[in-house]
Amino acid sequence: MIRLAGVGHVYSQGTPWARRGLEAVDLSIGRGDGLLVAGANGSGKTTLAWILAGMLVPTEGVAELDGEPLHQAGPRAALAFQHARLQLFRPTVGQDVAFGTPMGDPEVDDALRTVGLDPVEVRDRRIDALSGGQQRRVALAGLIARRPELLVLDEPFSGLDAEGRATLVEVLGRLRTSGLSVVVVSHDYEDADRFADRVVVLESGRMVFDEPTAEALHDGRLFAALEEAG
Amino acid sequence: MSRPASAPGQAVTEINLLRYVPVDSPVHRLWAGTKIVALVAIGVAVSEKPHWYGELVVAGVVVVAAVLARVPIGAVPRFPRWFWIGVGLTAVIAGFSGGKPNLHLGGLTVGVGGLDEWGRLTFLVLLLLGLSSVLGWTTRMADLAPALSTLMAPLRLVRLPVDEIIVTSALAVRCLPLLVDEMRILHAARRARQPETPEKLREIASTLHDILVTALVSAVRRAQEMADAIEARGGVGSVIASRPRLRPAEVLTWLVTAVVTAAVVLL
Repeated sequence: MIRLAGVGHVYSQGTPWARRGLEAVDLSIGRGDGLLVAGANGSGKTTLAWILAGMLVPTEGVAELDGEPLHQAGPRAALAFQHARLQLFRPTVGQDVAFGTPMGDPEVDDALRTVGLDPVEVRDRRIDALSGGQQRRVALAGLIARRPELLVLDEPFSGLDAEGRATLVEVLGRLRTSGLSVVVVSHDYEDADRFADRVVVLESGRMVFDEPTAEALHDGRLFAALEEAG
Repeated sequence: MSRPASAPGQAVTEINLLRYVPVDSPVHRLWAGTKIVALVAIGVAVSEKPHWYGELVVAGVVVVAAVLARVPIGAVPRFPRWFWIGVGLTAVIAGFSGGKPNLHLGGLTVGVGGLDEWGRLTFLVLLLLGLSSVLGWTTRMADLAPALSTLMAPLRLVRLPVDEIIVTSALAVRCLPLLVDEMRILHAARRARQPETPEKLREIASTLHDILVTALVSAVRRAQEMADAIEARGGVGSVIASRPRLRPAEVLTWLVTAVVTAAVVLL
């Protein structure tokens, strides 16, 4: 479904500030697959996330979804950013989830339930009255409401408490079983096998590790790869 | 009508305006205050009464400074297509205004005064951007505040809060890349929620409204956090002033600035 072949990206190409974000990445993601992208700061994780979500056109290689360039995939691919507040455009939860879609209250309520929020409790609440974790789940509901085929999440667990994190892990697992492909960019690997069946590690823009998550976590190879990648 | 936002040209790119070019050159080695004085003196002189001769002299100064600073051609800002379309449209509108001098084309007399004025003012804006770019390419952000502290020292005599003004300005400039990055994310977030590019005026206005309101909320929150952090560290403190060293290059730059400023005013 999603194919990356020889994908690389150079920021500010042709200027004195040119710097490589990604190099020669080959990757394929099937329908309903879950992928964890790990690596140190500056390793290219966010660049990969933006390319997968069609927000950035790679300067090298091919990135496509069902044979169509990813940057032309429109609502079929979606990206949830680390700072949820920047993704919320309407004053109340219900208005925000429905934003950009023709959906009514029942569909909004469904989207809120999917991310583990009680519609009766939160639908009419103001966005700025929500906690950080709740804002993140509302942003997720807004993306899910557009029924994407690929959902990319950049550091979705940062700043969440244990309960918020557990809920999000459960939500991601549930989304995958509904056929949505999920890519999670994160430094947090706890319970990763519940939402990702594969894990890749990036180092200086190159993919240096690609293994099934459960094995990589349980036999410690993921941590060895991360340590080696610095 | 809306269309899918899919053209490669719509990919999010970095904005490199006024960014430091890390090379060693005589212009890089100049004291930041010297460059600020040159920028302000020449900029004010050419803006006071813009004329083609003065502007050409300043254009020469910008080109020579950029060459001496070993700034690669790739550093020159590239403007998006919509910018040049806007410039072209304003030229057409200015052209219709006519005015002296008149151009005689066969039996036709065309007044090009409006176009001439448009050309001078547009060139002036590009020149001011060029002067600022030379300062940005050759001066580290951290060197600006100490230089400003020295240059603005006389204002302390009239009890102006010089340190506060400098620190506030420096913080504002330092936060510019953060703001640009935030706008980039906002634009991308909006595209993630509504991938169709708005085409009707109402849709465009609505998009701008959404992005600006969200940016404002986020900027206010960030400013509050920054103010708390500054307070927690005991306030802004005072800026350590830097002094110019009396080197031949500094003296030469002051002389060139004086000559160019005088030439622009007197021409």
